[in-house]
Amino acid sequence: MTAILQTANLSKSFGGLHAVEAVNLEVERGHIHGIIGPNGAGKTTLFNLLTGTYTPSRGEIYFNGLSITRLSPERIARLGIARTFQNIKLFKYMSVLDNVKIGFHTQTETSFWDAFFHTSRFHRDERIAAQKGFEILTRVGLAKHADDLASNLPYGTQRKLEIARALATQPQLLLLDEPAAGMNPAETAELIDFIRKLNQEGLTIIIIEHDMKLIMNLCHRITVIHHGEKIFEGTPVEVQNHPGVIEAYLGKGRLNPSAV
Amino acid sequence: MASFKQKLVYFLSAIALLMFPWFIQNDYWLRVAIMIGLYIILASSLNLINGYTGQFNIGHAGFYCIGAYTAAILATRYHFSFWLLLPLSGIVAALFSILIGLATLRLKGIYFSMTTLGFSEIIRLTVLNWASLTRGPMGIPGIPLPELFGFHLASNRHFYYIVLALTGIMLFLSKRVISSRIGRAWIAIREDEDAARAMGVETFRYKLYNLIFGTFWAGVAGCFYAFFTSFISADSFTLDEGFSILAMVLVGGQGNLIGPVIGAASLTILPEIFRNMAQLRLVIFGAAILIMIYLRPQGLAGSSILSQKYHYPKIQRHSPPKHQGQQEVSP
Ligand SMILES: Nc1ncnc2c1ncn2[C@@H]1O[C@H](COP(=O)(O)OP(=O)(O)OP(=O)(O)O)[C@@H](O)[C@H]1O
Ligand SMILES: [Mg+2]
Repeated sequence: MTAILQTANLSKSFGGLHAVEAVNLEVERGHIHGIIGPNGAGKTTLFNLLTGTYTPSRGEIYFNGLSITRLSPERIARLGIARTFQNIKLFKYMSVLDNVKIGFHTQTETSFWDAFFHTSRFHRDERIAAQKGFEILTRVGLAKHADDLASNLPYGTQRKLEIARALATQPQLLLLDEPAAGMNPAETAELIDFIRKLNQEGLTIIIIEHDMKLIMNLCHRITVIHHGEKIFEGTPVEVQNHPGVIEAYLGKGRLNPSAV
Repeated sequence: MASFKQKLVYFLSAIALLMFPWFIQNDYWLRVAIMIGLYIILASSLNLINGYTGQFNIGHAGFYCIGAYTAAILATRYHFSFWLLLPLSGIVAALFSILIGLATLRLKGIYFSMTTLGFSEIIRLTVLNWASLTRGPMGIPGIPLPELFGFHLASNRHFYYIVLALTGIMLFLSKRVISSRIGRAWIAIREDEDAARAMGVETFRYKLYNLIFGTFWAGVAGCFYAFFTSFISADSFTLDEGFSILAMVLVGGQGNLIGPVIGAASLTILPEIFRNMAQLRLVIFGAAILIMIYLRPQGLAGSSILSQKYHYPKIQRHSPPKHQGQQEVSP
C-alpha cells in the first residue's frame, strides 16, 4: 500500500476543547477517501491541520513520506495539496476566470520587471493562466461565466468554482469540504460524476460530506470521526454495518439511521 | 485589450493634459494642477496598498516625509541631482517600509495600521528634533532647481510637465503590475488571505512587495515636492496630511486606478474654491468622506473589478456586476 498522506497522533486543541485528538489517518494514493462524522466532530479542523492553516498541538503529518507538519499553507499548496472551504472562500470581487488564474500562481513567475515591460515571460505566464484557466472552467461548465463576478454566482456554482480554483494548482491531493452542501440533487449527481472522473485521471481525493449517498457512492475508504477521535475506518459497506457509527449519528440526532 | 474608443479617450486626454499649460495663463491654477499631480501620485500609491491588498496604511505622510527630507538633505548638502534623487528618495522611503512590514505584516491588520500611524508621527518628530540633520523647526530652504541638459527648470510649466510625466509613469506601471500575476495575488490577499495561501500565494512576501511598491512612490512624491517648493519643513507632513491623502483615496474609491485620481483632483480643487475656509480643509474632507460613505460607499469611481473589463471583451457578461460597496475599510 502506498500512502500519499499519513498522520500520526495528530491532535489539535482549542483551550480545553480537543477538536482533533490523536488521529492516525492513512490515505492511499489513487483513492477517494471519505471523512464523516456529526457536526462539530472535528472534520474541518482536520483539513485545516493537513493544509497548514492550523498548527497541530501534537502529532505529525506526512505527505509522500515527507513531514509537512509545520509548513505554511502556501508551502503545502506548492507541494501539491489543494482544498476547498466549507464556508465558501472565493475571491468575491474578482471575475470567475481571475479566481482560477490565482491557481496558477505557483506555476508562473512574472516579476515586477516582467510586468513593467511585458517581457516574453509575462506573456507566457498570462497565456498559461488564461488558457489553462479557461480549460478548467470549461471542464466544470463555468466557461460562460468567466467574466462574471464570483460573488454573483449561485451558491452551488460557487462550490464548483472553488473546485476549479483548487484544480488550477495542479494538485496531487484534493481536499473537498462538503462540496455538495447547497447543491440540488441534479447538481449533486453531476458533482459525483465529476469527482469520480477526476479520481480516474489519477487525483487522490479526501472528501468531507454529510450527504451519505454521495459518500457511499464514491469512496474507497471512509474514516468516521466523533468528538475529534477516529472511531472507525473501513469500506462503505463496513461503515454502514458498524453499530458505533450509527450511534454517533443517532446520538446527535442528525441523520436518519436508514440513510446511513 | 483597450478598445478603439478607450484608446481615443486616452489619446485625447493626453493631448489635453499636454496642452493644458498653454491654455492656462494663470500661474495660480498651474500650481493647483501641479499639486493635483502630486496628490494623484500620493493617493494612487496609498491606494495600491489599501485598495489592493487591503492593508490599512494610515501613515502614508511618513513615507512622503522621508522622501522629501532625503531629497532636500542630499540636494542641499551634497548636490545630488534631482533626477537621481527621484528614485533614491523612493528607495529610502521603501526601505523604511520594509522595516515596518517585517515587523507587522505577519500580524493582524490592526498592528500594521497602528504602526504606520505611530511611524508617521515618529518620523515627523524626529525631523523636528534632529536639528543637526534636518535643521529642525526651521526647515530646509534653498533646495536648488532641477537641471536638465544644463538648463534650470524654473517655471511652473516645467514642474507641470515633470509631475505629469511622473504621474503617467506611476499609473502606467501600476496598471501593468495590477493586471499581472503580482496584482492578482495582491487582490486575492485582499479578498481572502486564507484562500490566497491555500492557492500557494506567499501572502507575507506579496504584502511586503506591495508595501515597498506603494511607499516607493510616496518617496518619489516627497522628492518632487521638495524641489517644487524649494523649502520643506515638518509642518508639511503631519498626520493631517496623511488623513488628507487617505480621504482622497476613500472619496475617489479604492481598489481601482481611476478612483484616487478623481479623489485627489476633487479634494485638491475643493479647498481652493473655498479658500476663505482653508483652515476647514480637514472638516471638508471629513464631510466628503461621510457623504461618500452614505451615498456611494464604493467611492466616486466605483468598485474594483480587476481585469474583467480588459481581458475578455468578447465574452458576454451575464449579470451586470451589482456589487455595492468595497470591502469595508476595517484595518
Ligand atoms: N478556530 C477555532 N477556535 C476554537 N474552536 C474551534 C475552532 N475551529 C473549530 N473549533 C471547534 O472545534 C470543534 C470541531 O469543529 P469543526 O469545524 O472541525 O467540526 P466539523 O466536523 O467540521 O463540523 P461540521 O460538520 O459542522 O462542519 C467544534 O467544537 C468547533 O467549535
Ligand atoms: Mg466542517
